[in-house]
Amino acid sequence: MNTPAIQLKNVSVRFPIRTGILRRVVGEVHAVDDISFEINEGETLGLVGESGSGKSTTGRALMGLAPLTAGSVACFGRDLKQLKLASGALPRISQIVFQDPYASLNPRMTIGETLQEVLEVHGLAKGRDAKQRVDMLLDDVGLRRDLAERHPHALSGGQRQRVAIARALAIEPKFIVLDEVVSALDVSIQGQIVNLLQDLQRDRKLTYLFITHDLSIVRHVSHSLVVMYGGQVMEKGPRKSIFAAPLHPYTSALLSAVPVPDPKIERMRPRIDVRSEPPNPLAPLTGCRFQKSCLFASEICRSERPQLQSIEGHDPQHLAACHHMREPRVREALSRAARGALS
Amino acid sequence: MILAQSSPLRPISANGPVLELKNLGVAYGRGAASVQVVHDVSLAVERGEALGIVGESGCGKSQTMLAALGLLPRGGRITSGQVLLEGQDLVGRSPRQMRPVRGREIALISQDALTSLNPAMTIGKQMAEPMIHYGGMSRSAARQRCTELLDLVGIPGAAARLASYPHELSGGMRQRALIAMAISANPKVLIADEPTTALDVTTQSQILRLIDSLRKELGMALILITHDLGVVAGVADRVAVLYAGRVVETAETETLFAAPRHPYTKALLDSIARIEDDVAERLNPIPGLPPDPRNPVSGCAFHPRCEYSREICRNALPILEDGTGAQHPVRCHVDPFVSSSLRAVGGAR
Ligand SMILES: Nc1ncnc2c1ncn2[C@@H]1O[C@H](COP(=O)(O)OP(=O)(O)OP(=O)(O)O)[C@@H](O)[C@H]1O
Ligand SMILES: Nc1ncnc2c1ncn2[C@@H]1O[C@H](COP(=O)(O)OP(=O)(O)OP(=O)(O)O)[C@@H](O)[C@H]1O
Ligand code: SF4
Ligand code: SF4
Ligand SMILES: [Mg+2]
Ligand SMILES: [Mg+2]
Repeated sequence: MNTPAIQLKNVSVRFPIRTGILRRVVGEVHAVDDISFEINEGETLGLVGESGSGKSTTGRALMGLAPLTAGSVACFGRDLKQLKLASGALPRISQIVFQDPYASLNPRMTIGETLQEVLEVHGLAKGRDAKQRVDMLLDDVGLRRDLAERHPHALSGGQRQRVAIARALAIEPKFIVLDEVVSALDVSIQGQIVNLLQDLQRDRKLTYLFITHDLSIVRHVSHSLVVMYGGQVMEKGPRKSIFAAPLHPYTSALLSAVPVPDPKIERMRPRIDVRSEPPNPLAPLTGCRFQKSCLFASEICRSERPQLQSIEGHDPQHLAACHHMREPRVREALSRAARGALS
Repeated sequence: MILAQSSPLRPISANGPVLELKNLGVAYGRGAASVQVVHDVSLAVERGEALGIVGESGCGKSQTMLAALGLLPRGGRITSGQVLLEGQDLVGRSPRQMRPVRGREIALISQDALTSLNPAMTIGKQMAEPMIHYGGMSRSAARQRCTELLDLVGIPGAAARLASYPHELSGGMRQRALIAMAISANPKVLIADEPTTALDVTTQSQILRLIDSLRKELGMALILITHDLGVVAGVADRVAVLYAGRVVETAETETLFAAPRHPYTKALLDSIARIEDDVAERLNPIPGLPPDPRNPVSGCAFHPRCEYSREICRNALPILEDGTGAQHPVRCHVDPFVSSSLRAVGGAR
């Protein structure tokens, strides 16, 4: 395989916490802590994890919107820092679409004006040309052309999300960060957007980072997966291998918590419980970040941070960070929970 | 026909349903500007039973329940029907007469409850206030009760948590506190409107199991409103499916999932991304959008999106009928008796 489209190496993002009138720095939020992963061109990487685990911060870091405290990011072979310096270079490569397009669309501009502005700002088209391009963009995302006249408030959530995608596509980027883009939509409509994104990917060889807490959607869209907890990567690898046999207790807990729309299965299946103690990003734990919620935690989990490793008999690209993942009792419990979710 | 409309759920048992909505209608505005958002909704829950209400955003789930509790915002009004609490009609009662009903008889965890907690007041104070004001409890008794309740909903270190402000609790803990408040007066009916939508999956799963176990322990009837069919699958005994302000199908949960009869229910089930499915498969969304109540659709409101739609669907409103007598009423012109062929056609899609 040639160089990946997107490559993160040991990336950390910390935010200062300030108090008082002097805005003195009294501590740091460890939002993202030493994570590495790669996305191949034309593929989708699904980034999952609970609220506050650092998913959006990772996405924003990739867009140059959150400062890297440590580590490096390469987009299509070029370093993010250089791309940021060359004006306009980064947006031509990478775009981001957020969960709530309502907040990011100008309420006073019509959809047509919003799209036209993007084209003009980036010097891609002007005047009549731009109008024509807007029509084509609306076609691309499956919106009627006459919606160009409307303001965002006169559109449904699904239609607004299509506009946000059209706006990202306008610049013809190669990579798009999709941050919870279907989470706020009805299931009946989610599929429309997911299918659209997959069609666009196929036609244009687009690379996606798909951020979500919905594991069922991730299974549909992604080629590979990264599971985050407390700012760190707990497990990553090819989608198939992870869904076939999750190695990390947290991934397994996530899988067993997804409600299955079948009453017979939903009521019977075994679950891996997590104790509800979300990690505190202000005072990160030594050892494994998941220790307080983990059923299998032991002494070593409290003292040593587990490293990402593969295990025999699984895809060598499939890595997880857990001290006890090789033990039969753990493997047995995890595979029972996974079977319950996937039966 | 009339009979089927007014009591579309199972036959009334010996002691009858604890809460029953009969032909409830809700509208906003008046005269030409009037918009009907809930039409002729009939539902019932028995003691200890869990009823799920599902449907797409805007289909009237929340409005129905707010109307039942006399909590419609300004401009909204009940246009028809009854809300029977153990046989007593609540429609037309004054706010003053409704006060002892809310919380004590019927409790609501509203859709925006998580954001409606007062950020400047401790959890303990927010919980104790109504107990002291309306329940006539002493301060120390209320405090004692609050601790018990937080303990019951699984908040560790309950006594200490009374002094916490909402922002000091995680989303899941806040939702637990809200549940504790809702059950504090031992209501007969608990209405939970999207109680887990804002939470991540592991927390969602814990909260759902909590609600379910409390229902069983306390013998409450539960009305669980959600757009997530996975959520009702785990908790509800029966499910009512709403579309464009109308009930289109109700059935026992297992029946609904195994043999849905209404084309909308079937399409909704087909549209879900299932975790057991594998990637390359395309999702099966329902084409188009649900109608806007300001521009109502003629005939069957689902016809522009329905793959079985015929001439009659555009012109005539189907009635909710339990043609088979199997407590599985459906609102569709396609004869429910031929629903097996309907499913066969759908399966070939
Ligand atoms: N600008 C910021 N300043 C300070 N802290 C921040 C900032 N942005 C994010 N954080 C913190 O970093 C952590 C990770 O946040 P992030 O938004 O990346 O999580 P997430 O996984 O996207 O969660 P969610 O699923 O809720 O969107 C959180 O503790 C958050 O409060
Ligand atoms: N204050 C209001 N004035 C006018 N119309 C309203 C008002 N509140 C709600 N509606 C309309 O009533 C209809 C039903 O809304 P409701 O909130 O009951 O939907 P819902 O099924 O609960 O949706 P969701 O899943 O998004 O919560 C919607 O079309 C909505 O636009
Ligand atoms: S390292 Fe220890 S605490 Fe962390 S997931 Fe593995 S068993 Fe659990
Ligand atoms: S009445 Fe007609 S349009 Fe409506 S659901 Fe039945 S077949 Fe479809
Ligand atoms: Mg986020
Ligand atoms: Mg609602």
